Amino acid sequence: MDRLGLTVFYIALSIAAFAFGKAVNRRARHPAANATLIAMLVVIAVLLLSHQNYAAYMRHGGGAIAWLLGPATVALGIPLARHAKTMARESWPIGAAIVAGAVSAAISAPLILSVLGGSKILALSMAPKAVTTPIAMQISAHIGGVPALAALFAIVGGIIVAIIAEPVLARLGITDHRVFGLTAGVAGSGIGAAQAVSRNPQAGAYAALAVGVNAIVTAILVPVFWSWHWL
Amino acid sequence: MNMPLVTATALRLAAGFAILLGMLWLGNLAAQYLPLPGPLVGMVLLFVFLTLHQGAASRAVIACGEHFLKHYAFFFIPAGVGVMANIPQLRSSLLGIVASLVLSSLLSLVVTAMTMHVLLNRRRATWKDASLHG
Repeated sequence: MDRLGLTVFYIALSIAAFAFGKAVNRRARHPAANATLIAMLVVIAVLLLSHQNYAAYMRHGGGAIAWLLGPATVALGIPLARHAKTMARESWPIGAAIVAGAVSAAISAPLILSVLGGSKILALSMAPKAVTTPIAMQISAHIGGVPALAALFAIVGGIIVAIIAEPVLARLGITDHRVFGLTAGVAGSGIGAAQAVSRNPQAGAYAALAVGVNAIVTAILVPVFWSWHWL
Repeated sequence: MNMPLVTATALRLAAGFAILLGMLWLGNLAAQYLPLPGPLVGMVLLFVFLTLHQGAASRAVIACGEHFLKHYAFFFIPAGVGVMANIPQLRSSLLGIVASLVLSSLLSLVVTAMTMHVLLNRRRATWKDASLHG
């Protein structure tokens, strides 16, 4: 295929893989059937079967999709503005919970990985794993990690949170939709928020809020931690 | 007959996209002097813009932005595909990676939930209780 044909093919493949992932997610009704995860596995499988590499995918269409992550991330300001009144009314419990959750994730994840023998570059990629994927990638790039690994850790971390959030809160005896939404958003970012939206609209609103604020808190905290070279 | 409506919608989406790109550009500019990623600064700038301004420009950027948010997960795919270039690094530390993801997720869940739960209940008397029991 020529250059243009390959670009059209890879963009079409990405869209088709995502549509397939969404269809599987709707059928399976399980957070582990994550649309992005399924789509990326399909694209990887096609690349491997056609003996192509990641650089070829990025040169022909993948890079364009990745570039659109920028304006898409800016658009997160919309739900943030929409929920500003809620945020202001309960700002103290929300703010304290997000900071506590963000700090515990940003410190424990790279620390556990280092203790178990992970390299420094892996730990740097793991540090922002609780924030929304595009921001996790940017933070990891900023501190010297690998954006692709940060994306994987953020996605897999989000899936883990989506699976365990409800049983853990049930065990703690917490049934408040606001707490469930905020917790899923802080610990599991976008995928946790998607889980919260599917449970209850109020939980979804708090999760959206948590994803946005956690991104800001972690983007400030993680580079500061790493500038201290504490590990 | 539908043409003017289609044209108006397309123009509005284009204007909204232009504002998103403008915020991203400003965000990237500011990010050179901040320890924050450019798109994140752009997100905060858009939040400020939408809070201060509620006219045609806000409606345009919301109309365009909602399309991006609806398919937000799609734009993560190239990043995820990038994992195939880093598989060797993962194989050697698989146990550490899995343990780190599971344990830190669990810790973050418990810490966030307990902090919010305790602080909300402390002030429950002044708020309308929105829990399942409420």
